[in-house]
Amino acid sequence: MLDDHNIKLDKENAAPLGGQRFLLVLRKLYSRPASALGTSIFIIFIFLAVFGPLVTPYTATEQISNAALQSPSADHWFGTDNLGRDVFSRVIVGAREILLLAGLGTLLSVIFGTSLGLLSGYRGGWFDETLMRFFDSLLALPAMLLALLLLGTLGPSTNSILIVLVVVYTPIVARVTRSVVLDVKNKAYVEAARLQGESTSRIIFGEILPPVLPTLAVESALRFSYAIFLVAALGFLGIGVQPPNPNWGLMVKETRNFVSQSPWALYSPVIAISITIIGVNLMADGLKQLLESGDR
Amino acid sequence: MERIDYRFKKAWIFILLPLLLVPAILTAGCAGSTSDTDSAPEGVFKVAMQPIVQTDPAFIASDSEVLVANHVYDYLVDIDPNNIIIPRLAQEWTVSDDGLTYTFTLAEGVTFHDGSPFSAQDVVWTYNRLRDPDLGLPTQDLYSNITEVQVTDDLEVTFTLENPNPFFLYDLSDNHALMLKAGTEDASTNFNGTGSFKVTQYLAEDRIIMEANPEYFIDGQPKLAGLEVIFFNDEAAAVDALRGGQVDLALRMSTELFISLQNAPNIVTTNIPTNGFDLVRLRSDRAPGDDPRVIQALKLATDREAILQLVQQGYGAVGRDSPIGPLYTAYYSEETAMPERDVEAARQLLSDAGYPEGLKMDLHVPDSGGRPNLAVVLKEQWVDAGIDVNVVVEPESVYYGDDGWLEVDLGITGWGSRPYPQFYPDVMLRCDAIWNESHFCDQEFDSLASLAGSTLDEAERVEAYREMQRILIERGPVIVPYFFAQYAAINDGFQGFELKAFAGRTDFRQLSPGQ
Repeated sequence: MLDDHNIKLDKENAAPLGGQRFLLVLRKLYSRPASALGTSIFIIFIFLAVFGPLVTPYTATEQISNAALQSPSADHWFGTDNLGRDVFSRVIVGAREILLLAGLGTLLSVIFGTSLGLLSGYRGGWFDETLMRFFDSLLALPAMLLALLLLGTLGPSTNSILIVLVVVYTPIVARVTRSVVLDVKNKAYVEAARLQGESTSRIIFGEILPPVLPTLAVESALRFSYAIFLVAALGFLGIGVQPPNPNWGLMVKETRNFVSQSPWALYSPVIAISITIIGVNLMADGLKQLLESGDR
Repeated sequence: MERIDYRFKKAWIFILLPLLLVPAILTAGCAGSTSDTDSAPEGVFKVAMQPIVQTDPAFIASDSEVLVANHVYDYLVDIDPNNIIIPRLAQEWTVSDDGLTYTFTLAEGVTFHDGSPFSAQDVVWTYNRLRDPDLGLPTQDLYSNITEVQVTDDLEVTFTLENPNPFFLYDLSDNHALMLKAGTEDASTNFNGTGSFKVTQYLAEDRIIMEANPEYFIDGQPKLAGLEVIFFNDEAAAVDALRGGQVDLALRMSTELFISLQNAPNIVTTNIPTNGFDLVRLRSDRAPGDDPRVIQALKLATDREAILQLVQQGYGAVGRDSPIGPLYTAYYSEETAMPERDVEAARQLLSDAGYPEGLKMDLHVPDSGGRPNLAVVLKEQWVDAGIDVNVVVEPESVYYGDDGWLEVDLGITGWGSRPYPQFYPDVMLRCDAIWNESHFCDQEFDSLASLAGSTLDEAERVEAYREMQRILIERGPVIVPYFFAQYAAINDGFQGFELKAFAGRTDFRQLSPGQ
């Protein structure tokens, strides 16, 4: 199935490698309105996260004197919060904070999850059994409960949140990877590689990993959107990143009591969270459809 | 039952109506009040408050713990909203000329919830427990001045003091001094008080349900049939519950929540000035706080006026780094000038103290009231002077748990309002104070505090408090940025509510349903 998909791609593009392949995926994502929107949102937020803090009029923590709870104006596009901080600057810097934290957490989970999933699926036996039952036990706990337990033990800090993301999402990525590996590892070409005497690592990374990658891309995108949500939720609960960090969830917590006086300070981070998550989800959906249409 | 009772009442009124008509018209006002005091308690009042942890009166500390205990038990003497001592279980008292002997006459016919009578024996037992050096209860220091508590008659108790204490009656009404039955073994679980409400169910971390005590010694009180304290960890959730009608009263909320409740339908808001404050304190018995230049640098880097505006929205009063606030009109002094904010001077002091690169510290703060905001504003103000604090927001249970708040170097602690100022130096600023969180120890301050707490000469006391304020401004390891107002919001379907500066001492004995 998946190798057929590769062949099909080969037919459409003589050299589907590196940048060209990326552009091809991008072009396909832009061929559907929903995924085009999602991808655009995602790219815009990445752009804001990278370059935004260079152009924000204020720093995220600067308390402008006599400017608390102001309405949106030319000076303060999204108004100011209760401590006189520019909400626009906080939302932009917050984009970097949250995308970086969620992105890094997702990346680490995907790396660990993929490695463990590949190994577990390919080797099977007691190793597979032990690891999967352990992961099952982690998956049995709701993500938020697991996060609370871990943060309660580790104490709130950026590193603890990274650990939480890795512990919560590695099992999920590993399971998804393993399921694809189980499908692929008995294919004829894997069998052939094994008979040729190729090393285990060569078989895993050279033969099994490539067909896993598309599924992994979809899974990563989904995990990323959940990670954004989790980081924001922990911030909101006050057990994630500590003030005065412009974490969107923490901003919601800090400004929600002032909703009657300065709704913009509350709604700005709320809208930012919603748009980012919707964007990433639409993109993940597009990737999934791309993958499925490729299969057919 | 109710219906029969009602019918009986109706018939009774019907027969007597013609007879009563003339006098009733003549004394229309009286008829109303008579029926008021005779009416059976009605209505259940639901209060939203922080969860309680301690239920033994000797250990209670938080507003919610005091609030619950104040309804289950009674104080010997009480304090009214104007900070004046009023009778409670003690009906009257006399003080000897030398100020060393206090004799109290107790109310008659008082019974505990288990039916046993209350007597002088119970008062003696309770105060002996609170001051017993072997038990080491939090009140031990407070009552160390008592040499003897004696039963002088069945309903008469005599206290003998070592030194005169002008605030002794206030001390007797300390939050912990609730009368237990003599010989009580486990005061944290049996809830056997003389108070206006009986505990029917205590669901830890959920709620405590109480019903009116029909045998309560004050006629016509309580007016409510039941009282429920429902526990909320989150102030905003408590206020939402009030808006939604699940609770009838929210106490102790942040200023922003209070502002948001203005003009809310069916809710009446009230606020009163207090001497409550947030204390920013630095441990002064170890580095970096053991160098007086470090605390001076922190003080110079702080802009108290800006903090009041940002954190308290301008409600309350600016602090002067001393717990003696403007509410104590007789003792508050502005004689010692507060130094202007000067970040360069602060930076220089830090450099002289051996921190030319600035100072990095964790600032521990409980997640309640405006304290996290205070921490964030301080972080921003202090960073100008090279003091880089890392704000660590903790739930109150973590901040106060295992006495962690007494250990950390830099922290913010909320202090409730007290009826007289002597409490603060005695409990948190003297060398041997039980909650000396800043580990401050200054001989001059201590001797002034002793003088203020013992002299019967008012002018001498005023002078001592003034000097203590000077010392704290000059070298106390504490910053008091503001004094806050106390807020409450109540369902407008109840009347007779009177908020007290220490919210936990607010009592509902006079509260009844009705507009």
